[in-house]
This record gives sequence, structure tokens and C-alpha cells, in this order.
Amino acid sequence: MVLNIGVQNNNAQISKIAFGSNKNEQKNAKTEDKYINDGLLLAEERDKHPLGLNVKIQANKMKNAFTKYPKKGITGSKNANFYEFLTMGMVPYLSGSAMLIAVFNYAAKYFNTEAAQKASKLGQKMGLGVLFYGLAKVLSKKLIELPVKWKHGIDVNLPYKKKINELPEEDNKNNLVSYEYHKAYESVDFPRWDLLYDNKYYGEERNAYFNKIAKKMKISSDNFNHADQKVKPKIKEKVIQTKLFSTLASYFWAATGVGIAMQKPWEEISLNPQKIIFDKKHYNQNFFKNFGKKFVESCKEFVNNPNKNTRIAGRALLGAAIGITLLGNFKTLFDFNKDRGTKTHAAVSLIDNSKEKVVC
Amino acid sequence: MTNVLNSIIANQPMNNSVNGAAAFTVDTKGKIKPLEDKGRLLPSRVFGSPVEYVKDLKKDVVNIGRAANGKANDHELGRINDVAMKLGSLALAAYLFVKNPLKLSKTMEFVGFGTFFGSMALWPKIAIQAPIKARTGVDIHQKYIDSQNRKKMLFQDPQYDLTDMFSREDLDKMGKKLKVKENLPDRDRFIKQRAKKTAVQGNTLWMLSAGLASPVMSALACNVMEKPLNKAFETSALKSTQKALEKNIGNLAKSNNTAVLESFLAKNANAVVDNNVINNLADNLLPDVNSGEFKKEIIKYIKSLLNNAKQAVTMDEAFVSNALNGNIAEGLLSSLTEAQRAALNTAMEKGSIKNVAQTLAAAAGGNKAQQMKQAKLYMGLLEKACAAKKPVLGDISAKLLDLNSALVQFSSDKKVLDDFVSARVGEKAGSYIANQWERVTNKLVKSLKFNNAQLKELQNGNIDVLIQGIEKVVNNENPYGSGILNKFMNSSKNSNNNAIKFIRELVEYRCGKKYDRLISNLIAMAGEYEEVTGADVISSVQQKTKTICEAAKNSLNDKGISSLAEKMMSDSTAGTLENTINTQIKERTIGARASFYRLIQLIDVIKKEKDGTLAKTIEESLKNMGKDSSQGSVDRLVQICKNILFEATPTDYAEKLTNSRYKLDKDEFKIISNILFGNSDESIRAGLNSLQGDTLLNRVLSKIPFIKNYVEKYNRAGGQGLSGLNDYKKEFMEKVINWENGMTPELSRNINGTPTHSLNAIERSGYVGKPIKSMLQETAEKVYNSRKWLKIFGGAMVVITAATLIAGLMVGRKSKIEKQTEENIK
Repeated sequence: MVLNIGVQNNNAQISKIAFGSNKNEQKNAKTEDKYINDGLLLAEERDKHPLGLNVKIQANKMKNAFTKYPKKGITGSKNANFYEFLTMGMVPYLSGSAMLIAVFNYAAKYFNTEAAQKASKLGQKMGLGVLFYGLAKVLSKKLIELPVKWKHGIDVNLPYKKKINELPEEDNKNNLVSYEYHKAYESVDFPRWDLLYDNKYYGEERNAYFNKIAKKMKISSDNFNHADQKVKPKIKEKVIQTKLFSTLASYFWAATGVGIAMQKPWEEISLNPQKIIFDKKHYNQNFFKNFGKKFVESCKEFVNNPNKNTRIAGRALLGAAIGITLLGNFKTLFDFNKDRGTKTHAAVSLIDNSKEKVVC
Repeated sequence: MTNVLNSIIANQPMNNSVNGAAAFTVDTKGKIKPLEDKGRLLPSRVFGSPVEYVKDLKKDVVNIGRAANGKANDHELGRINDVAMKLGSLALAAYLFVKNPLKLSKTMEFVGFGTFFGSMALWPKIAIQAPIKARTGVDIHQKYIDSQNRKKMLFQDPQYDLTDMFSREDLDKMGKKLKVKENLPDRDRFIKQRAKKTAVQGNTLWMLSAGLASPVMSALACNVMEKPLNKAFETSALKSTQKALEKNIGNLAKSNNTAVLESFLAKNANAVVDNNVINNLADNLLPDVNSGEFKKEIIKYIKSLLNNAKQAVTMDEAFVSNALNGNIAEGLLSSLTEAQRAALNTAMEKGSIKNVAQTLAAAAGGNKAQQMKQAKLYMGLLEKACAAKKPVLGDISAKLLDLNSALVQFSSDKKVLDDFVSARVGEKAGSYIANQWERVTNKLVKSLKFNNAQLKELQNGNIDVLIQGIEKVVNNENPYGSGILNKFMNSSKNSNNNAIKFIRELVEYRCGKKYDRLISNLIAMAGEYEEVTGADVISSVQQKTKTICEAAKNSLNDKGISSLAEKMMSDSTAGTLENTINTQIKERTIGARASFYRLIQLIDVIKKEKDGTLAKTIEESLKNMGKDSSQGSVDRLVQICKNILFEATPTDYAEKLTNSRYKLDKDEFKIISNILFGNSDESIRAGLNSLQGDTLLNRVLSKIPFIKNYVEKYNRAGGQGLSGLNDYKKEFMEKVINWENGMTPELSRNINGTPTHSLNAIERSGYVGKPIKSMLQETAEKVYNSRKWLKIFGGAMVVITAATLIAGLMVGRKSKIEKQTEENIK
């Protein structure tokens, strides 16, 4: 990977990045290229079309995870990198989910009717379990991430696009550019502060982004010379907390999702895709309504199971998920470190003069 | 960093050089130095040590605490994801553990959790890491400790080159295995490059294969674990319930519901006792036993308590004047004539509301119609007053508590007994009987080697498939092998010696090895069943039942509740609770036992059909009875013999197999029942007895060990093995074939006037056992389904593993250009 060394300036072209047709993208590609070598923050798109951007990024990652990256990886390309490896993590997630559903469902089609019905009841629940696991895991993270965004203005998922200039290879000497979608706060050790400084989307000032955060965090400007010095450690802290609690909570929500999928009401509805799609008369018309109904019933059964122990266990699991989420909200939304430094403390405290300094 | 540098630069004396750039020539000696290199490779192992695992876990827990306060680095946050995933999954497993009703499926939730994470961890190790390491010397998951003491993967990010950490030795080893040309200048660079390439390829292979392999691997592992776990639970349940039965009967009052009852009675002391309440009370007071009769008796008792309490409402003048206050003329009661007063007193004494009302209405005067109207009004008022004084729960609570205390011990003892019985013959998954039955049927299907198409046919109840399967086992062209047994059978054909005749009979009875193995396996399993649930066990349960019923009876008598005491147990056992319990246990036991033997019999009949003995016996019997013994009628009976065992129900037997399915006449029924349930090997037993101590026999026994085993098995006492089968046949004859013989005394036993005919029918159906047809249908379906599943996913696992291993062989190879480059360098 060779990075083109250039002046870090990624703001001028932001408004020009078309969100739309391929043609436009291609047209802009060249002009865009020289600016995004080191990363182009997608802040504006993120604010204006959060869902569209997310879909675009995920689709791009998914496409690459199943095509380009495995090809590079399996040939042992010298351009393969950690980002690609991590993105390929989507493959086992998806193929594993499909396999898990298959393990519980596929064989049933060879069984006779009664056994198949019995098996499909369990299989259906398992399939739903996989689905709810994934959904609950993804959505529940928002329960912690969004309040942090609203309250502090810190978007832990703020994406940026990165251009990679690759080394020529045996079979690839021309197409030496690849793009990656990262997040500015992907690393808590090295957040991409550089993309946030001097970013015209946030304002004319060099510190516009940090000023905005300081304002959101209600830190009076009397307390600092430059907002970044004051705010950066706080952002880091909040990002770490958000990541920790959203991760922890997400797995408990995912478990709750599976728990809900295991309830009895689901046995009363067929989720056979073939039936849903083709047997319109019976399934299509009311499918979503029925599904919603069964979901509500299952949630009720999960919390109010007639069996006492199951009821307690269900409530405990849900309680753990809610509890961790609330604790996460509490920890991330309130600042318990208000007195971190005086006006000059931030700058001074970085260096402890009494100690030997080491530079790598 | 910049700050540090600036401060250093600022403190430098200005250099007066003309060259401006020299101003930045900073003397950093002793001031700036690189970080000390503390990183080191961890020993390359495929499996980590548990100690390391615990250490890591401890670190992770500490890290979560730090991260909650906003202090963590990327490495720590990354690890927390793994911990969170495990925590969440454990929570889920715990929830499903509680939710599942069965011990085995409960445990399987945690097994599933373990195997899932196990497979995720194990798959890359065994299918990718280990083979690649063996072939190329590169451990693609090589770990190292960095300078900050963090454990990381060496090849995680191929762009972050850490191959400098390899020692000379490591590099040489890898170089040799990777076949990097010797004597290359800068050979290490080539080795490191190839190692990195290998790791990138291996890791990609991991990502591509893990999703497909892990779930299947986990499911297969669960499948493997299920059987031994089930067996372990079964054994422990058998043992623990045995222990509890010996220790806890009479000593444990676990199901003590007194406190609950007390608080219920206290809370509802003023509640009127209607039928609903009575029913509820009876249910709660009833020991955990399925007996409608006993419940009826308890209801009767509660009603009698209520009746007694009712008498406590005494009707006197004050009660009447209170009840009718404002509706009778003032002073009417005191101005009654003597006759009226006498009539009123009698009516009040009797407690007859009607009479009281009529007397008072007559005293009030007026014409007949008015009197009647008045009487009606008084009656209504008096009834209302009486109703208000109806006995409430409080009136009988002391007695109810008495009853409860008399039954508490019984209930808790019964629970221990129930657990004991349920672990053995309980109608539930995981009980001994259920497991053993599954083992037997699986054994049968396995021994007969049915293929999938045949299993499908069996699911549809096709008897021919079973017959073909058994015939294959029975058909043995050379049943005596080629050894000493064969010699003996050939040379002894015309011998007149009794011992030799007997041994020949024994050997012929055995037929061939395959058949013998199947039959003796089934017999052994039936024998084991007899041991766990046979006569000894049943009689010990009956003894315990007697003990606890007796104790409860005494306790009830002590409290003066003799009507219930009589129902608990009495000399005429019919209809008592003790009898009900015993019957229930017996019914359960004989049913399974009969099903075992029915299966063995069917196989035996098919074998006898094959070798012609069955037809011969039928023909002889027909001749003896002077009936048509043509080939056609013999064949028909042969077929019926098989069909009976295959699918006859208790109703068929009750109709003496005369119904449209079998159409047997009386004699034919006799012939067939004698063949099927007569004591067929009595002659062998008699022969064995008469030959005790025969020298020739003993010589043969010492020469042919399997015959010795056979004779020993035969001789074994205690209702096991074949003798168990014989006992069963005898009972079958008595209870099913000749059931009307037993009817007269049975009929004389009455429970509340109901003839015991129905009880007898249940017992009878127990002896008939499960029709082989339905048994085979169920088993064939189960075996077929699990085979199909295993075929699909076992096959998938094989394919995935093979593909991964083959792909692994490609990993780390030199590309053409790499080869050329190496060769071009001199």
C-alpha cells in the first residue's frame, strides 16, 4: 500500500460527490481521487441520507466480501490487508446463518408429513432465531449509539472513504486502486482526527467540529483555548464507552431475540417462503399482519410465560439486556469527568517533564 | 511527539552553520531512543493451554471495567467483543435450559453452546492451521506478545510486517518446507514473503469455510454427545431413585402443603363451600395419584363434614323472629295457641322450614290463599336466613387440616415411589423403558440392514420388507461353519445317544450365526429389561406401596377418618388406592415386556417358516384334529401366524381372531395359539434336565464353548433371557388366549358396582404389547429421518472438509513468477 503524499484537504469536493447514478460517480471519480487518498469524510451524506449511505456502504462491502477480497486472499495477494480480512468476516456470518437454518430445516423435506411438520416447527423457530439474533444485534446497538449522537454530537459510525494505491502484481498491473469504507472512530487509539480538523462541512474554522462537540457537551469556551484539546479526550472516552456497552448489550438483545423466536405462537404460522410467496391466497394477504400478531404474542409469552421458572428466566434475560442498555446510556450520556484539566491543563498534562521521553 | 521534539529543538544551542538546514541538525544522543523491543513470539501451538485461557479471561474482565470508564485501547475492545458474544450466548443457553422441560434437552442447550463455540475455535485449527503448518511450516495463527504485553496474531494484518520476529531457526525450517531455493542471496526475504502469502491464503480459507463448517460440525457433535448423555442420565436416575426409595420412604415430608392450605383456609374462612370449592379442595388434598375413586371418597368426606357443620345451625324462636322481623305481626310469636306453639316447636326441632312457615302462616290467620301466600313469603325469608348461616370453610377447616396432616406423609412417600417407578417404566422420554425400547428397535433395524428405500416402505407398514430382512438373516447356507461344529453335525446325524440328540436339537435351534446374534442380542436386552423392571423390582415396589398405604391408613384411622382409611387399603384389595397404584405400575411394565417378546417371537416364527418347521407343525396339528391339512390351508395359517404377531390388537384377541382380518375357527385358533404361545422349548429344558452329569454332554460342552454358554444361559435362574420368554408365553396363554377362564373370579370383584371386566382388558392389552407394525413404522421413520439428516449433513461436512483440505494443499505454493524470480537470481 502506497499512500500518495499530498496536502490534506478533503472538504472542497464534498458537495460534488454525487449520490446517485454510476455515470455521475465515474465522472467525478477522477476529480475525487486526488482528494480522497487519505480519506474522504462522508459527513454530509451521512447527515442527509444516513440510510442510503449505509445501504451503499454495506452493499459495497458485501459485494467485495464475496468476490474481490476472497480472490485476493486466496491468491495470497501482497495487497491483501486487515480491512479486507475483517470485511470477509461477513461471509461466515451469512453462510453460517444460512447453514444453521439449513441444519434444522433442510432434511425435513424428505420426512413424511407428520414428522416434517414436527421438524418444521422446531426448524422454523431456529430459522427465526437466526433472523432475530441478527436483527436484534444490529438494531440494539442504535439504542446506545443514537442517544450519544443526539446528546454529544459524536457519531461513532461516522464513515469515510479511503483510496488505496496498490502495488502492481503478477496478474494485475493496471487496476491498482481500491476503495475502502472505514469509520473515523474505528480505532480508539488512532481516531482520524485529521479528517475532522479543518473540515468545511462543519464550518470555516479549523476547529469547527470540535467546537460543535464542545457546545453539544456544554463545555463553556471559557474552559479552553482550543476546543480540540479539551474535547478530544472526552470524545475518546465516550467512543470507548459507547463501543463497550453497545457490544455488550447487543449480544444480550440478540439472545432475547432468539428467546422470543423460541415461543409457542410461532408454531401457529407457516414461514415457508415458498408458501408465502406463491400461495397468495392463504399467506400473502395477511402475512405481515399475522407475523406482527405472532411477534406480539411471542413477546408476551416470553415475559409472561405460564411456567414460573421460564417466566423468571425470560424476564431476567430481557432485564439484563435492558439493564446493560440503560447502564450504557447512563455512562455515555453523562460526563463524570467534568474537571479534566483547567484551561491549560490539557496541553500541559500531556507531557510529564519529570520523566524520560521516548519517541518511536 | 511534536511537543517533545519541539522542546528538544528549542533547548539546542544555535548552530552557526551557513547551511540553514543544519539548524535542524539536532543532537539526539541519549535524548531520543527507540522503544525497547520487548515483543516475542509465543510458542506455536495448535491448542492453547487452559491456564492461558483463564488468564486471558481475567484480563478481559478487568478490561471491561476499565472500558466502562472510558479507558481502553483497540486491542482490548476487540477482545471484549468475544467475551460479550460468549456471555450473551451463555445467557441464552441458560434461558433455554430453564425453558426446556426435559433434563436431556436442558443439558443439550449447554452442550450446543459448547459445541458451537468449540467448532468455531476448532475448525480453523484442525482443517486449516494444523495441515498448513505441517506442510509449509507456517503457523498462520502464530501469536506474539507485543511490547505492551498484549497477545496478538502475527499475521493478522499482512501490511503490518512482523516477520522480523522469527528466529533464524524458524526461518530455516519454513524455508525448507516452503522449498525456497538454498543459497539465494537475501533468502530470508523470500521466506518471509512466502510465509505472509501463506497466512493470507490460510486466513481467507478460514473465512470462506468457517460459516459452512461450524454449524454442521456443532450439530454433528451434539448428535454424538446425545446418546452417552442420555445413557448417563438414565443410569443416574436409576441409581438415585433406588437410593431415595431405600432411604426416604417414611422419612421425608417434602410435599408438605400444610402451610399453603392453612393460609388458604384462613383467608377464605367465611367462604361458602360450593361444589367448585369442594372439588378444588379434593384436588389439593389428594395425594399425587391418578385415582378417581379415591377423589370421590375425599369429596364424599368433605360433604359429610359440611353436613355435620350444617346441623350446628339451630332453629329457635330467636332465629325465626330475627329472620321474619317486620314481616309478621308484632307479638304473633308470643300470642300463639298451645296447639300452634307445639306445632312450631316440633317444626323447629325438625329443622323443617316449610313446617315453621306453614304453622306461622296459619297462626297469622286469613283465608287459605292468603295463608299460602304468607307461608311462601316466610319460607323465602327463612331459607335466606339459613343460607346466610350455611356452613363456611371456617367451620370445617380444622377437620380439613386433620385430613391433610394424615395424608402429608403419604404424599411425600408416594412422590419418592413415583420417581422410582417413573425412572424405570415412566411414559416419558429418557425413562429406562423408553430408552431400552429405542435401543431394541434400533438394534433390530440395524441388524436387519434395511436400506433407505426399505425404511420408507416400512414407514408405510409393509410387512414384506420386514420378512425379507429377517429371512436374509435366517437364511444361512452353511449354518454350522466349517469347524468342529460342522463336523459334529455331519457325523452325528444317525446317532441314538440322548446327549447327542439333545445337543443337535440345541444347535439346530440356534440355526445360524447372524440369526443367533440378533436373537441373543434381543433376548439379552429383554433380560436386562427384566432385571431393571422385572418381577423382583415390581414386588419391591408393591411392598413399599403396601408400607406407605398401611401407614396412611393408620394415620387416617387415628384421626377418625375411617371411610378414607378403608379406601387406602383393605383386605379385599380391589378398588383401594393400593390396588390402583399397583395395577398402574403393572400395566406399564407388562406392556413393554410383552412388546419385546412379541418381536422376538415374530423373528422366531419367520425363521421357522423358512426352515419349514412351522408348516410341519401346523400340518401335524391339523391332521391330529382331523381337519383339512392341504397345502393351501397350511399356508394360510402360516401367513396368519406372522400377521398376528405383526399387527394383531387386543381386540383381535378378544374376538379370538375370528374377525374379518383373520377368520379363524375355534380349532385353528387353538392350533395357532399353541404354536405361538405354547411352551415350545419345554423339550429342550427337559432334555437338559435329564442329561445332568452326562459325560458325553460334558465333553461336547468343553469342546464347543458356545454351546456351553448357551446351556448356561438356559440354566440361569431368575426369570431372565429365554426362561423370561417362556414365563411370558405362559402368562399370555392364561391372560389373553384363555382370558374368559379368569373372568368369573375377576367379575366378582366390584368397585362401586362396576365389574372389573375393563381392568382385565387393560391388563390383557398389556400382554398383547405393541403391534410390531406400528413399532416398526415409528422406528423406521426415526431411523430413516436421522439417517437422511446424517447423510445430507455428514456428507456436507465431508465435502466441506475435503474441499478445505485440498484448498489447503494449494496454500503457500510458489507462483510461476515467484519460481522464475527465484531461478533467475544467481
